[in-house]
Amino acid sequence: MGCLDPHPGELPVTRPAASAAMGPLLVAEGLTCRYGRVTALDGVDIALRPGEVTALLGDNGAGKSTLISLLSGVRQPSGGTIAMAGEPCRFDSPADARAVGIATVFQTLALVEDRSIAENLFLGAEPVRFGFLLDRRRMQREASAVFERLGVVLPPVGTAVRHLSGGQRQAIAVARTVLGGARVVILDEPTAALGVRETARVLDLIGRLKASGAAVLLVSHNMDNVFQVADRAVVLRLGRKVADLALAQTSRTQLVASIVGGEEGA
Amino acid sequence: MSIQALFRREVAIAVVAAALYIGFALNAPHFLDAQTQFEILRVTGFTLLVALPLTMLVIAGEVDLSIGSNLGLASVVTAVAIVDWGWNPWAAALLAVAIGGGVGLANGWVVVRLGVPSFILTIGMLSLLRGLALVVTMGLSIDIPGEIESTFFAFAGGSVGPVPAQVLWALASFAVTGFVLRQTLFGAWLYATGGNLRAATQMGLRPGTVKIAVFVALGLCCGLVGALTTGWLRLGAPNTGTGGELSTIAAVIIGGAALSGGVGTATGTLIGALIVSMLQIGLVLMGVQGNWVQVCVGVLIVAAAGAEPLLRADGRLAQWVQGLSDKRATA
Repeated sequence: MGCLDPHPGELPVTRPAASAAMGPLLVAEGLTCRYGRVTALDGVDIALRPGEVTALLGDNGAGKSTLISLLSGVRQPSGGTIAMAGEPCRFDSPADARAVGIATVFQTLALVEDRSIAENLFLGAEPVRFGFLLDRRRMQREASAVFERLGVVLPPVGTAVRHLSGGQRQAIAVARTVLGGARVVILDEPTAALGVRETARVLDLIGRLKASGAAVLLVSHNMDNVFQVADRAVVLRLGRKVADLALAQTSRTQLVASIVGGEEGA
Repeated sequence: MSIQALFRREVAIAVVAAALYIGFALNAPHFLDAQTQFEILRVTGFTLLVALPLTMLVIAGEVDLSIGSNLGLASVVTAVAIVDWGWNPWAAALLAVAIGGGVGLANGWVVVRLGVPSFILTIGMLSLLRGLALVVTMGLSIDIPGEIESTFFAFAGGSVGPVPAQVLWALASFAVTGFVLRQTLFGAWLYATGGNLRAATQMGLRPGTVKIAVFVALGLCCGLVGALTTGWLRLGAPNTGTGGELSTIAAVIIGGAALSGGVGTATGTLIGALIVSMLQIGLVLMGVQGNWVQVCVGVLIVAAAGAEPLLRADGRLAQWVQGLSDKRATA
């Protein structure tokens, strides 16, 4: 493991909102990943800044999944470097990435249906007393606090996840990254299976995550969502980065063109 | 919403248990005699000592069908060590417990590390261990002669006042299991392991280690019950525990633990074990033939399994309750 979290245990949401003008938090350069003879990712650079939402776009097979699996430690790159806050990192597992503050919310969400919201929120990072007793009171307290800060309204934290909607589940998975002290949050298609109202709630949540100073990488197919919450868009095509656009100066037509390969974006 | 969960499972089966109790009290002669009552408790106690760790294993998403055979082997080993090798009965019991734990470790290791389904592996172990018990004794039962004296026999078969010792151990085991499941980190990991293995792995839990630990705990308990049975009856019979897996698994399933994993409680299993032993003893008192008792236990398992989809956490009953609490929340 290359670098250590300089703010162990500190929650990004407690910090004043960082501005996008700050230097990048996570910088990946020349990331390459080969599966046998196939090059899934070829020399991709990406920088994520605190308080900024970066959309990751691209057609199926463009390399989006490969890129997030490298950043989250699920896979190891064949070439290139990753640095957190200037320190070079090497992730052998998702736990390594989490330890330096990079958390990924996968589409499966990793929730246990029959267990409570609180237990899911702290899954794998349960607060304990004497090393083995669950500190349920602390779980309850911290769960309520994090939901309040993220502006999420959920049933009582003792409710089983089975009873919750898709958007509520997404909120738990996102809150889990925040509780874990993540400064970079990667969201994989968070609105893919959601209805209109639920989608709006999740986008609102992403906005709050951004306001709290987290660097957010949003993988999405949905242009409306991207233009609504993202500041920047990185476009991949056939494993290469073909565009890195500031969305304020980009039209929808331009963005779509760069995805399907009409004209090369900025 | 733990109150809701209680409403669904434990209370529902407690009502069934109460109805059975009243039914037998009215119809089965001598059912209310103190002796019968303590006998029910004793049988329940024996069942629970294995059914409680089995509940943990079922919660973790695995099952062990070799429990009866493991128990039988432990019973025989205890008797052989005492009678043939002249061991101190306490040492013999310790050996039996260790062998039981070893069998659990072997089961767990093969299931977790080699990926063999526990159902299939433990069916094999059911036959293997029972065969060993028969081989060791050449198919015969071993009596422990009266001249061998030890505090172990009083410990295994004694009673505190009118309460059989087995009942007290079962109560202790119940308290420990309930505590582990509800209050400890291990309990939370157990439910997560059985509830969503992939999520447990992704979030950095060690589901394999959790499963192996429970297999070992279950094996140790089988060994203990085997040794206690030998001490209590002063007899090591190779067929001890035959069919015991049926009533034990019945208690666990009737108690609401789901074989799909992630669901189950110590209280549920306690009530389940009471129901099974009440049936076994009550029906016999009513003059029902032994074979029919087995039919009745079978019917109850089928009914409990059939009620499962109806009572599931996303079943109609639960949705109705959820609707009520939502209304209250918005009001």
